[in-house]
Amino acid sequence: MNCEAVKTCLDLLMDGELTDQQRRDMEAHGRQCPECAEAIRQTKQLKALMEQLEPEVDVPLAAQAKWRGAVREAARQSRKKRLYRWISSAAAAVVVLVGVGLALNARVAPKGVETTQAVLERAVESEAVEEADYADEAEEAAVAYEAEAAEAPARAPAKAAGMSAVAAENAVIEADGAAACDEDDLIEINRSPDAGMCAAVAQKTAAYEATIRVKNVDAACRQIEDIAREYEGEADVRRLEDGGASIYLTLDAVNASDLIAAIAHLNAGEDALELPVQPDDQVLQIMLTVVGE
Amino acid sequence: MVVKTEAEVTGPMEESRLIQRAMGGDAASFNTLMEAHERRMYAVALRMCGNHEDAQDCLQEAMLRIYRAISGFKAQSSFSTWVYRITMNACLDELRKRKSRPSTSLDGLLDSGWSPVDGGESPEGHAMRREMRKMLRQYIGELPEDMRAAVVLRDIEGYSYEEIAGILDANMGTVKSRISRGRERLREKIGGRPELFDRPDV
Repeated sequence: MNCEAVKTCLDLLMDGELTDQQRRDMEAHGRQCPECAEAIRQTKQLKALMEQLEPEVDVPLAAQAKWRGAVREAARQSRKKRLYRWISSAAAAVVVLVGVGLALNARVAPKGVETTQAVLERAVESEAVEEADYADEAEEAAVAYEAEAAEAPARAPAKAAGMSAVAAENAVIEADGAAACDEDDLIEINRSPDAGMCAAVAQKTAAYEATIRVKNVDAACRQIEDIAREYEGEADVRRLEDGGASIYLTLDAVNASDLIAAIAHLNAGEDALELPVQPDDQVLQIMLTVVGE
Repeated sequence: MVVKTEAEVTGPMEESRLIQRAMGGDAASFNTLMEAHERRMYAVALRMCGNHEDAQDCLQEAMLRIYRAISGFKAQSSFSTWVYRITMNACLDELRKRKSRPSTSLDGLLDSGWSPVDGGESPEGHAMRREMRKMLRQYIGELPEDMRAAVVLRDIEGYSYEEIAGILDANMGTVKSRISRGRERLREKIGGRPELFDRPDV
């Protein structure tokens, strides 16, 4: 394999379509050619990184409301336009009929005009009824949408279904003296009945990550440390090269909502801080990234 | 409650029924139809624009264009390809419009909101990975628009080359070369930051 062929293989590698034979040939060439070896290594790295970027993202509620509102408005406008078109063509027909009637000066003309007007009125009425129906429909949709929006926080636990899995994985099974175990926390584990020595306490640990934006990173870090202390938690603060910070918080879940509220207070960013804490979470680990404005 | 994927919400029958009703101007059916595409459309817009504010504008513009054009949609082509073509065009138009203005902030590319993480990861590892993702998003944002569109659709959204050709209205050869060159540029950029990207511990 030559350098040019390796180049083609790099794309196949990214696409996940490299055959075993091609892979072997490519690696063999790489052992002879440092330049290609470097390109192969970087390609693998790029592929791994790309796979970490999400193909779907949560659409902020504001964005959802924005396009739905715009479409609703467009639908209303096009209805209105259709109604106007109807009226103006009907009105034109009346003008023509009146004109024809006058020109002929026929006795039947007034009756004809009356009839046309009656038809026009009925048409306008029926469009108006339809419009009213549509308004009801739009309102229903709006109500349904708002209900959905209101439901969103309730949905958070469901969204965090993956989280529960993480939490379950993280469940720390601590062997402990039976005397120290609360009966509710006992977990039946496979053990011989006569072992009888210890039961296990499952401490359910859930991990989350979040980003907050602040004016002054230093001050915010100090405040978060204070807040953590206040709620009997731990804060491990690491400063990052870019001036921000990464804070690793560990705390008891019972204090979570108060701590989150206190941190949310510091956040100048737009994204609301909501933590989908599960009722059975006991220990929370929060990876907080602090970004300066 | 399970988050529905595109395929679950709109089986072919359900999708064509909704398309028919949306063609008649039924906004409620249109909304239901588009809910299945919204998350991916937004992801594409976010990768193309680099910030939430512009991505929201693009999503709205794309939805409006689709709503206005849906009565002319030809059932023989794939609805999803058609939808992403309009989305991509809305993004490219928006980017062209904004070219005269100062470049948009890439800060919006930060991860946002709460999400579960691997509990076993060290804080340093976590911060580094976050930093790497952030830089990669920035590098993607620095690619020329045509190249960026092709790379985003292929390497993040996972479309086939053929679908991408349909979405970008370009031939396969052009699409392949844009993707290949785009990847090469990204590799070079990553290679230029070994202190960030070459860490065996992450």
